[in-house]
Amino acid sequence: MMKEAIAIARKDLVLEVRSKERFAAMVLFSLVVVLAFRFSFDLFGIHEQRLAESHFLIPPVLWATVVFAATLGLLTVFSKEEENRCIDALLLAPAPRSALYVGKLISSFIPFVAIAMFVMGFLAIFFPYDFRGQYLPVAGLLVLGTFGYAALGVTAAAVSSTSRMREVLLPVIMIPIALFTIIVPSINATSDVLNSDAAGALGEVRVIALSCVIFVVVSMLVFDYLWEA
Amino acid sequence: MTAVLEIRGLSKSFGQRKALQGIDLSAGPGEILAFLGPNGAGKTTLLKVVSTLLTPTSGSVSVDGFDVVEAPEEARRRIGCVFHDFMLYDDLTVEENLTFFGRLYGARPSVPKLDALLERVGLLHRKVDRIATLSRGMKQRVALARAMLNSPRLLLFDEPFTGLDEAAAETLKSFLRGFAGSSGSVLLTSHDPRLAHSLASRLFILSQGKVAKEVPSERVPVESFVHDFREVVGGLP
Repeated sequence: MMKEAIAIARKDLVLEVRSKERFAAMVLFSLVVVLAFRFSFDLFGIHEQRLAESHFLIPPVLWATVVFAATLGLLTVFSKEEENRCIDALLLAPAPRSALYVGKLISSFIPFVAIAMFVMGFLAIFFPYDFRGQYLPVAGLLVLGTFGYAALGVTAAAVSSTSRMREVLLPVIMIPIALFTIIVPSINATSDVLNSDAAGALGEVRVIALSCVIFVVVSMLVFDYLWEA
Repeated sequence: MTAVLEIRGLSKSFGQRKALQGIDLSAGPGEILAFLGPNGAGKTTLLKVVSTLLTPTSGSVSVDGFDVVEAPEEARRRIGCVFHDFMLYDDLTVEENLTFFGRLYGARPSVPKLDALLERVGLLHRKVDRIATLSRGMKQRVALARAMLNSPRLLLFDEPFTGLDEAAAETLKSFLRGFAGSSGSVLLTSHDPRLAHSLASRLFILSQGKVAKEVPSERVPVESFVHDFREVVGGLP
């Protein structure tokens, strides 16, 4: 199953590198969101000195931007498969359909992590915020959180891919589930890391990790049935 | 000898609409079966059920002895499909498409095998070209090469002659005869009774999801078959 999953992920990444459509859109979108936050903070009189000292404002900005950009990316997870009905050729492969899930998870997770790192960079440039030097732990949380978001998002994208309202349906399916399993725990964990609360961060990491396991296991179990007709 | 394809009492419904009703047939090695009928007769639905893309509402379909519901992966291993949309990635080259699908179908072709396959469909010279740059007929040949990657026993072909010129149609016919000659079976759909008659060993006219007429092609002259077809379809083919 892993051989087929890797083949799918590799093909997706080759197509992404060739067209750069999805990645470029996500980078631009996250830049715009970061700038919008920056200007709105200025507007409300939250100035640089306060921003630099506030370890509670940055985590929501960081995660909101990552989640927005990742949701944008998830909208197109199956779009290349819809062209020329390539999805049928994937479904005709003599392999478990969970291979398609794992392949799409890998090919979504890699650009999401890259985007998350870009967002971190944008925050450091435009706010400016030095993450109290905790770049590695925050990057680790971004890796874990984006994995969980991708693990849920690929299944939600598969469910919504056949709908004409997929742009609306995807966030409607995803956000309520992701909110208390990935997004809020990720924000809390990032705040805890920036406030040097290791025990608090560990508790949140456990929630995110458990959510990741549940999303992957459930998705692999149900993915076969999503394509039944 | 085991039938390559065995269909018993097959029905498929979409809600209240019955797309296929009580289809019974079997195809042995070397046979080419053509399904004809007007739009909406159930031809493509039949191919999709046999290919495992759709689940039968009732009845059974088995490919080389493997039931498409009970053992779909084994059945898929024995099927090659060329559908109307070709199922190829426009932004990948011919070679990349075939290598990818080869990996996916557990039959990653070696370079000589890939070249031989492309030679067979007459596209070796376009190996490094992207699919988007090929004509419809060429895309169909790449799709045919993809369908042959896993050395199938059963080839499913939806409207194979649509958009092909006479020479390309003749080439395709001889390819399909060659495939059937190597003890494979072909199940194809067509709108053209003359073309189907010239190729298939058995002809089925579908109407409203049912087999309205089954005809062994060598026993029925083409004009008589065209007449029967017009009668069922209710117009000029």
